[in-house]
Amino acid sequence: MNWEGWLLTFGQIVLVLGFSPFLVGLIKKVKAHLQCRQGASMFQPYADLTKLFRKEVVYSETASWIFTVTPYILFSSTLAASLLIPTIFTPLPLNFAGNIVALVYLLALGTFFLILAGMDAGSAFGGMGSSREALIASLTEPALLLSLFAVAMTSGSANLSTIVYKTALLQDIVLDPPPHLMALVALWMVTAAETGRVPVDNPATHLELTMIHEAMILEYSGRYLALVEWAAGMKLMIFLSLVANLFAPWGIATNVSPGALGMGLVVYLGKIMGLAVIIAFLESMLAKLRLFRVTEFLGVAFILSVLAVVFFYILRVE
Amino acid sequence: MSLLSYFLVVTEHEKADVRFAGMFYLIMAHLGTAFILITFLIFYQTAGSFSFEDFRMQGHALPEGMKSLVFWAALIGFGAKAGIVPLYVWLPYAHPAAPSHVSALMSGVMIKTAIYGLFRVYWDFLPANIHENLPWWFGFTILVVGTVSALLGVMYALMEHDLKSLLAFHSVENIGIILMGLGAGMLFHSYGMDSLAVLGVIASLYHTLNHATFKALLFMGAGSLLYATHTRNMEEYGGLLKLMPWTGLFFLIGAVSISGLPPTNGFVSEWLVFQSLFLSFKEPSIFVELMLPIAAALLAFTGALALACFAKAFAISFLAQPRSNHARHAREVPLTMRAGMGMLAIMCVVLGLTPMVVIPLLDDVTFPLLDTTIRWKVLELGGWALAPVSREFASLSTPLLFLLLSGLIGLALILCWVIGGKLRARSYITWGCGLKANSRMEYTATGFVQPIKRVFSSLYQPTVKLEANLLEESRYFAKQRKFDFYIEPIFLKYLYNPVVEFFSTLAERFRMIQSGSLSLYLGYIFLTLILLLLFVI
Amino acid sequence: MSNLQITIGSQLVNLCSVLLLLTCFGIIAQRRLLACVDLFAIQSMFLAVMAALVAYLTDIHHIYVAAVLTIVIKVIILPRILKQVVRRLDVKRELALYVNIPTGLLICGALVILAFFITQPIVHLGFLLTRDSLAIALAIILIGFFIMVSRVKAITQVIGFLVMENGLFLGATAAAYGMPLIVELGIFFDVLVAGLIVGIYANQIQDTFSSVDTSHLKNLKE
Repeated sequence: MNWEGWLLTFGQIVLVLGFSPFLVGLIKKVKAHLQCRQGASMFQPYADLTKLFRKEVVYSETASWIFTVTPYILFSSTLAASLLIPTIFTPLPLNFAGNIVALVYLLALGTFFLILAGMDAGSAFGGMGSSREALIASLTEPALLLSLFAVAMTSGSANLSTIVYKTALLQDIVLDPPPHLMALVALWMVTAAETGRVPVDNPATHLELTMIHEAMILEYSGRYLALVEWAAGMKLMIFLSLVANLFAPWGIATNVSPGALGMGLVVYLGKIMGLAVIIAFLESMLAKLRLFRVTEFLGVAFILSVLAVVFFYILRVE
Repeated sequence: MSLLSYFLVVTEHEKADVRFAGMFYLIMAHLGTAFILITFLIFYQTAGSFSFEDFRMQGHALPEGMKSLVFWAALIGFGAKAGIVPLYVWLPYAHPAAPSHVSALMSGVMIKTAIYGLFRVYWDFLPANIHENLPWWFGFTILVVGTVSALLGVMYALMEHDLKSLLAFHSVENIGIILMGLGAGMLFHSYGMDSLAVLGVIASLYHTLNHATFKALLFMGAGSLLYATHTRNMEEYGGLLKLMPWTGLFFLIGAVSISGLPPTNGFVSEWLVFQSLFLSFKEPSIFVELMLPIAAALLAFTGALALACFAKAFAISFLAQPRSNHARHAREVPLTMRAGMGMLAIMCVVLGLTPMVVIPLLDDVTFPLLDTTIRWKVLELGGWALAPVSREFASLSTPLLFLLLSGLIGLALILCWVIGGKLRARSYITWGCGLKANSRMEYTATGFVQPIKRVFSSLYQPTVKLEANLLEESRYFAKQRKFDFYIEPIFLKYLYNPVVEFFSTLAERFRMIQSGSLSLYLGYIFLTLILLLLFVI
Repeated sequence: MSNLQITIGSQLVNLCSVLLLLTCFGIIAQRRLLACVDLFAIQSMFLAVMAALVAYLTDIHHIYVAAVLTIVIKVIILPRILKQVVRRLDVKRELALYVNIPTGLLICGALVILAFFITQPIVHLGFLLTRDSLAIALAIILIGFFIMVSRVKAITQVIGFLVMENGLFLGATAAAYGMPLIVELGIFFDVLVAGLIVGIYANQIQDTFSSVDTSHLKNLKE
């Protein structure tokens, strides 16, 4: 990998790390305005993270080394997954490291350790969060994989950078609304589930009836909590990038020139900020579903992703 | 093989359930052997001898109908030994009943010999030469059987709270995954697409190797837990990571591998199976063409459920507080046991990080069978990445992922140090809503899987019995509560029991022949003698 | 009509058909009756848009009339009647189902695949503008029928019937560029009258049995 590749990779790390707290703050701000109040500043999450890093860590004496290791593993696996997704430039330097399956399983690595950490403190909250997360993860993974696969089939490759590259240049792909549309709806539903947003999970609540992700990280404090929260923000950015760049990647830079990169940056930020605003609207309009209705919700996502693939095969025959 | 392993299984023959397990195992093994014998006898008819060489020479001369018969006989025979659905029923009895190192051997190696048998029959003996195509439905059936086994195996595994039964059901699941790769390979081969077929077969073989490694590791871990706590019930474990750190670490590596998470070996072989299922190809029957992505969807589903299952297994056994006195007094197992587990754990990681070394080795196996090699495709980028079909289609580099993960962990540490300064940490008891947090407040294994049980209740058909002995003074407080939870064993109830009933009734009828009367027996001999005199002379 | 227009046009018609199919799935996955009625209204709106599109691309003007009628009757009048019935009878949710929702979704997925298989030979023969939509139309008819079979409350069964009719209209537009205007007018009036009768019928059931649970009709057997 030449120095350009290193620079682009480093740039993407900085972008993902730097922008994800802002995204979270943006969603909170929009929700606040929809609730007719001012709300905290959009840059508040940065202040929160800094404060958390500086605070003392209190850990449970029941917990083991899994508890201390998990935030680091979660942080690094989420960041590694984000390096596989094109944000402002495609094809990425590291794209040969993995494809769709690698992406899904890197995120699963983080989920696995988070489930373990939730059980580690021996509290009922953590156990409950882990149990619910296990159920939801088992339903979102196939839907996520298949909906990404449906899009992959239209461009004949399972490498994310290649898919985005081909779609952006409109070369060599099968242009067909039905599989794309169904895959988009399925992916959007999976986004709501994986990032812990309404209607699957409420990110602002701490009541045991209603929390899933928050329950697993309840025992964390200090820098561990900072890393976990940052990882959650990065996961949100990952999913929004997937939706934005797999389905509408136009504007992304395909060559390494300052102009193209600059425009790619502006277009990308605009797209994901728009999607974040849509999420904020949906969070304010919808109510959180009961846990066993969430399974029906994810069942719809799974069926839609299966049908997207089926449509691709059937329509391609003609 | 069946006989010797039977003796190993009934090592602890003082216990009634061990004897039952051994007997069940022996019967199923006999069934499998019967069908394997049928297969070999059919080959013997055309080949004239029992040597594999002759089978290979003459195997293709069988007429179409006989080939189908050989296919089914081999599938049932070897399948019963491997543990496919619906012939897996002996696995959850035999593997837990055997001592743990025997279980490791059985699950890790023995059921793979059945896979070896299947490979031999389907790839070596049946086709005339490398380029003859078997009917497409051979591969399709294997794919379907594999998918169903994988799905049902993991779903039943989730509900088990005996660690060894859980692992036994997981063997069913992994055999299913191996068969999925094999079936996809056979399917591609029957359409003449050998470069894709090789991918399926290599994925299948790689997963066989990986499964042997991590399943043996996990069984040894379970054995260590049994040795330390003297109980097999997961609900009595807990907090063992602090008391048995090495066992915990090795079990964790095994759990991460079997869930297929990067950068371990389980991930590489599942990735390869996914790649072989993702490849689309144009062929007439859209029905078959649709099966591949549906199989991929179900594989993703089983992968996710396996993750949930092993999160439960590890978390309940090793984390939080001990749930019983057995667990409180557990101590680390001796060095020899740890060494065994450690070697396998290192193998798991090594197999995961070096697919570019393993795949050429496996390629040497498939090259004579298929006359195609993907050895060169594996050495993309100077050996760093795998690109089994083409660089553009998909590629994977586990060493790079590993380096990336380690590097980013380093980045996280740097960020912590830069922004937060030195780590100040304090330990305190877990918040238990004002009560002292004890092990009764923790989640149990039953509770952990309860949502999943509810969602899939149409498959499990659970029955729950709740009894309470209330105090005389007040109806609201109970002296004792009893909770029984029971899952319907579908195959045992609807497939095996009727068959067993039928044979029992038949045997009852035949019992009439034996009446115990001496004159009757002499009469039988007399009658036979007269018949012989009449018809032979 | 240029070739490009046909391609873009047929893509747009495909898009509308898929949106129709998605609303069908939405109705299956829903338990709240008001939401089902709303989804039906949205579905009819997409249908009208699609009809207008087909009319524009093929220059057959009477389809415009059908599109306008769809909007007036199926987007405005019928949902109003149904919502009034729902509010008056105070049945907001469908709590008990014969088939639970995930199984229902799986069956609907299978029905879509089935519809595609059945229309495959026909689809190859056709060179019409909207041949993919025929398969989706059949799928919507089957799904509408399934809604009628698997639901308990009378209101949802009526919605299932109306979904079937939507599917029929889609199929007619896809295969034959709309039926003769007289036939379409007749069908629209039938649907409107059916809606009105259901309004009265449901009230009657409610008054007699104090519930609109159609499973209670089984009591008539003995």
